[in-house]
Amino acid sequence: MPSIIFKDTKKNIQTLTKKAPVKYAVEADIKPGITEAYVTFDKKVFTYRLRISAVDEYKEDTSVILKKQTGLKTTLSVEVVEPMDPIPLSQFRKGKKKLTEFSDFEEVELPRIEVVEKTNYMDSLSSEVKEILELAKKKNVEISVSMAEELTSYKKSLKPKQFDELLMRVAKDLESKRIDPFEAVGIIAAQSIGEPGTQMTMRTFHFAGVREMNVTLGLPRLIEIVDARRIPSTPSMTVYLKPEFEKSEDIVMNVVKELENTTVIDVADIVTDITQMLLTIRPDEAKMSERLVNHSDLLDALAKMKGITVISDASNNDIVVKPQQESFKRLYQVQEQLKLLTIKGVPGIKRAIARVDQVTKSWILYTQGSNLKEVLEIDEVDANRTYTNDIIEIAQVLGIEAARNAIYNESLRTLSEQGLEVDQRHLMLVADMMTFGGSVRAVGRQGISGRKSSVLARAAFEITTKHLLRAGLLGEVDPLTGVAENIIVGQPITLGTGAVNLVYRAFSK
Amino acid sequence: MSPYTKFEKARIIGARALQVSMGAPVIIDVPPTVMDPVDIAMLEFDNDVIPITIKRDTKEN
Repeated sequence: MPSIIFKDTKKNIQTLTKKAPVKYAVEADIKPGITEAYVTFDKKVFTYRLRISAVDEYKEDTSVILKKQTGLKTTLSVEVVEPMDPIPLSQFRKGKKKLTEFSDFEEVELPRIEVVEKTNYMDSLSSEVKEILELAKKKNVEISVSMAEELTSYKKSLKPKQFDELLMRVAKDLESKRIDPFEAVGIIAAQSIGEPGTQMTMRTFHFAGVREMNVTLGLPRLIEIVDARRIPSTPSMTVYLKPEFEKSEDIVMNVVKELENTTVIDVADIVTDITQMLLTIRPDEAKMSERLVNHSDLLDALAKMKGITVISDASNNDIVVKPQQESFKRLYQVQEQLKLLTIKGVPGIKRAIARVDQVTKSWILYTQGSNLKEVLEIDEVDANRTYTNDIIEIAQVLGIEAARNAIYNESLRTLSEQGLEVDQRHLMLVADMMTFGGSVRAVGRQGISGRKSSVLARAAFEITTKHLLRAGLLGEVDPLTGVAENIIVGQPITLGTGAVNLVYRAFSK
Repeated sequence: MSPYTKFEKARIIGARALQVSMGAPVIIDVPPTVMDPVDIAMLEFDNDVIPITIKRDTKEN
């Protein structure tokens, strides 16, 4: 459904609000049939919505409110003026393209976000799965939904009696794999991840092809995950496109172009002429075509820079830039700014390569450098599948639950790539411990171990005297609830058999 | 399925074995070959005659 967007003054909107419903004359040609208009004051966010019942040609009339004094062309019959939650310009689409700037009037579309109610989880299961769960309930055993899904394939091939037996055995096996309460799961997890860790090799992985990319893997990567580094040593993204664009090479190449952050220095030489206070940009054709940048892109980028005069030399491709303020200091500043001036692309993405997936025959982009937020804003990108290996970035953009899953997936992938099998529950425990506080915390002195509530537990870990002295000065109290504290004072620990309270039972059953 | 976890079972048997080793009367008849107090306690546990049970905390305190 098309609607229009335009810029207006606060005063005009105020009079409209007061007098609505009213006729409003504007200076643009507007097609009839439009029912909604969005108004902005600053060309960035839209804060008012006008409901329009009719669009007519402008005729002079005293009852009409005028937007301007001259050049009026159309009269809108405004029914209601509604203030609304601000919508940024990037939400509007013109011919499926995102708008980055607009002149005073534009006919656009506002894509609606459909809200679909989430179905009940149990209702979403197939009838076969439900049947098996039902059967398990009847037999008084517990099996998980995923297990029931797996069992459906056996249901047909086995006789009912055999299937019952299978179900019972599966349930019994699941029961035995359960952890008892007060088991020291943390220690077991530490050992279960630590031992395979000793067998990991220090190795980096290479992408085949001319433009090579390195991704940290193996032990260094595992340490990186657990340390919760702000920036991983090799941030990289796997960018998937929406299914409708995935197979078209042209679109994929365009997205690559949009992703790769190209600066002036990447495609041109900058020559400084001190005598005339000029900077000459000499584009390198070979580099330009490699980076998929053309001359006008360069000029567009320069036009956005302030405080300079751009003189395009028609005789050759050189572009001459002159600082408006004539001083050597300014000349130097402009030169430095020019070097880092972004022509195209997403900040932080150094390189992007596209490869065809051999199985699905669709294109997948791999990038060096990561900027999840801005990559997700690109229209062609499928936000559901796009992935980054920067866990902190995931926490910032998608939230802590996503970061928890990222820690789990990354560590599982790092281990399984080396052919090491670790029970997923150990990795889940680590991921949960790192994220349960609402932010990603490292394992170690800066993170989990260093922030335990008990003084004695902290003192037992590292820098004993510092913690004890501090606790003494502040008069901290230790309730001796943890394990390390109880070992220090010589009590039974609150784990395993130590956590059991015995009471006398007068009569046997 | 036993109503006890492995830790609770170990703790009950341990406590009972200590009692038996210090001369407490054995509740059930045990074969004369069974001499070890732990074995006796285990037999008693399997027959559910040990006068000890578990008090579980319902919430953290």
